[in-house]
Amino acid sequence: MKKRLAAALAFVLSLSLLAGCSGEEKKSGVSSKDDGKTTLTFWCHDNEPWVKAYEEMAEKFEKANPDIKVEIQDYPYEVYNDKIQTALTSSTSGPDVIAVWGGMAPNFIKSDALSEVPEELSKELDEDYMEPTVGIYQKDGKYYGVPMEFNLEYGGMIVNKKLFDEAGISYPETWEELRKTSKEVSKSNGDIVEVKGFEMIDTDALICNYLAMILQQGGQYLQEDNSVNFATEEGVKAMNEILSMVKDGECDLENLTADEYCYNDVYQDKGYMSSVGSWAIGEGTGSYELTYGEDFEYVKVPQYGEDMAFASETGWGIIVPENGKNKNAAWEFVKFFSEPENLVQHNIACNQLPPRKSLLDSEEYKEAMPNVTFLLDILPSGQWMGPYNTSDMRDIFNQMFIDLCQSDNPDVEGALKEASEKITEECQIGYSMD
Amino acid sequence: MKNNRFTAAVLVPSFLFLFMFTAFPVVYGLGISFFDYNPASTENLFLGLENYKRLVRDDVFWEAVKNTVFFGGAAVCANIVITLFLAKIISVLPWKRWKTFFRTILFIPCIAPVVGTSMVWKYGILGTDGGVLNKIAAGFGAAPKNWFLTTLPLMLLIIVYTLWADIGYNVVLFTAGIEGVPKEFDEAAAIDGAGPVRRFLSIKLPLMGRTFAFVAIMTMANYFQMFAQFRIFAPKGGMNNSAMVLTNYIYRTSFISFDMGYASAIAAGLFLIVFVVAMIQNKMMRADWSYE
Repeated sequence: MKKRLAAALAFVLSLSLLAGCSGEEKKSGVSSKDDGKTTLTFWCHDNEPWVKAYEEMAEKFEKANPDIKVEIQDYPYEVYNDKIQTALTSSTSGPDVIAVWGGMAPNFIKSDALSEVPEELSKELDEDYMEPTVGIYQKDGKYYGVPMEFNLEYGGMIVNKKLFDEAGISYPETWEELRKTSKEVSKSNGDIVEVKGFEMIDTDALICNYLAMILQQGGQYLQEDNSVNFATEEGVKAMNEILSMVKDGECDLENLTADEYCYNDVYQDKGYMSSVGSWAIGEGTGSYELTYGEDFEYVKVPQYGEDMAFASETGWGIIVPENGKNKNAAWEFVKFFSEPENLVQHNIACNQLPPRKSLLDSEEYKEAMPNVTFLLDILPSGQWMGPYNTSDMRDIFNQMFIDLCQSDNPDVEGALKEASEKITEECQIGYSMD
Repeated sequence: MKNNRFTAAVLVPSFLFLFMFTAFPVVYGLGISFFDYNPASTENLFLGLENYKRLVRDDVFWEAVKNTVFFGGAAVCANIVITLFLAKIISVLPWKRWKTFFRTILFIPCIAPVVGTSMVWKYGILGTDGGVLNKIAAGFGAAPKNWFLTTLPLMLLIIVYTLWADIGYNVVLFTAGIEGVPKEFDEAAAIDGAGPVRRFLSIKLPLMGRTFAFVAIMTMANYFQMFAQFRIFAPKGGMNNSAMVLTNYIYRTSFISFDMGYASAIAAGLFLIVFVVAMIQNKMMRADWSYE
């Protein structure tokens, strides 16, 4: 009797094991039609103000399209890209619309798992979107993603107003003033700069500032065949300038090695100025609960060269998986999202810069975002960073920079040449974009 | 006949589990290492041995092999020496409560999540600004150091963290092993005039062969696959890949670069290393499973 019971139990266990592997519907992320309504699932990462903005957009869309419901689901960024990759492989439980970081987009675009942007919207991307915002979403002359923002990690800096007021100094307006102020206010101790002057040595800001410094001298790092060459006269000069900031004790490598953003130092009264995109303003007022205009401000980074120029990588955008159950409804939502009057409100809510040329003169945007209006003037001077996997590009570039900083007698030109070759060989997008 | 049916019924779930979640993924992983594999693509290009040829030429892979072997060797040796020492001390404590107390204290880090404790160590202990290590160094007049810019010291600190986080398991196993050796042998050696150190090295240690073999093989297999602390302390492999281990390289290749075919080839390399090391250990430590 006992043996029979044990055998029956074993059988039930085997069944439960198999049941666990079955791919039954109705999991999170599954589109469904309840009460005649189509439900779209929208995936995003868990940035609080951004999630709120997505929810507002969904609500607006539902009002305009009563037969469609949009469900927003957010995930921690650390696991977000893995989840997207897994979802794209699933034929039953994927989302309908996904917010994706431009730097990660090629990994998804290179597969054939994404739905092509409809013709009407593609035309708008060609005509009204600035070049850096759409670059990465192309494959074989077609678009597979729609930008939500102009990603700009250059041009603005968070300044600690309290520290400036206490020191009785004003914000620098030229590059020379910036370096002078930075040297005067910084304090070093061993490997650490306890109080930083001007900071731009973190994963995002370093390469963006470096590229801008090359371009502003009239140089170019992107060759005609799309290969990269930093080892030019302008490239070496710009690198020496940045290296001197570390050598002079104005900033250190702590944020680069810890994978943190420099602006945290400014918000924690450990730094005076930090180059970062305008999105960091929200971190100051949100996460740090500081007051804009009292504790900190966002101002223009003084230009390094004569002419304004910078390079920018494609920022956050929207993709629609090919395996989605409601592709038409999903593209309807993306179209609605991209309409200038809706997109501008989303950009305002997320502290983002608008990707559309037609929004550069938006009074609504300028009125709501007076602190970043100065950036709108420089956006047309930007070029796309190039057909590269920018995450891998940064890893190589940043490691080269750390090595140069660690070396007593650095061969700057040699290091730049080696890094250029490595980036060209290892990071270039492997598929045709045109 | 009846017994056979019963045995089969009881074993089927275990074998099913073993096949579906162990054997099949291993074979499948090996299979995709021959492709330019992207699960999201409907077509994946067959590359033959191309991924393995790339592996042989890949400097980062060899650096990761070197680091994994160094970490595995150093951490396992240190773990066994320290845990044996602690287990011996605990076993000679006169009161049972004390034994339980120390075993519990040493076991607590084992039940804490590795990611959480790694973060505490990264920012609280190794942190450049305000970390305990730099504060101690400052007490001796030394300037603060950015430990994440170092090569060997960072690897050694990861080993120290791993020992702290993992030592409790083996202490418990060795304590049980020491206490499992029949007292008669020890007493006979004591009557013959052997001191406590000699008795431990010549009597207890050889008689603990089975515990020793189990601990050594399991710890080695486990340490070769350590991942979380490397992902926290050196997510990009540290300075010049000096803290890049195979598990982190597999993760980065598959989930950062999304090159899953090549990542599977690296995983096959790791499998081979662990397999060879376990076989060598198994041969060297062939334990006598009885006390007779």
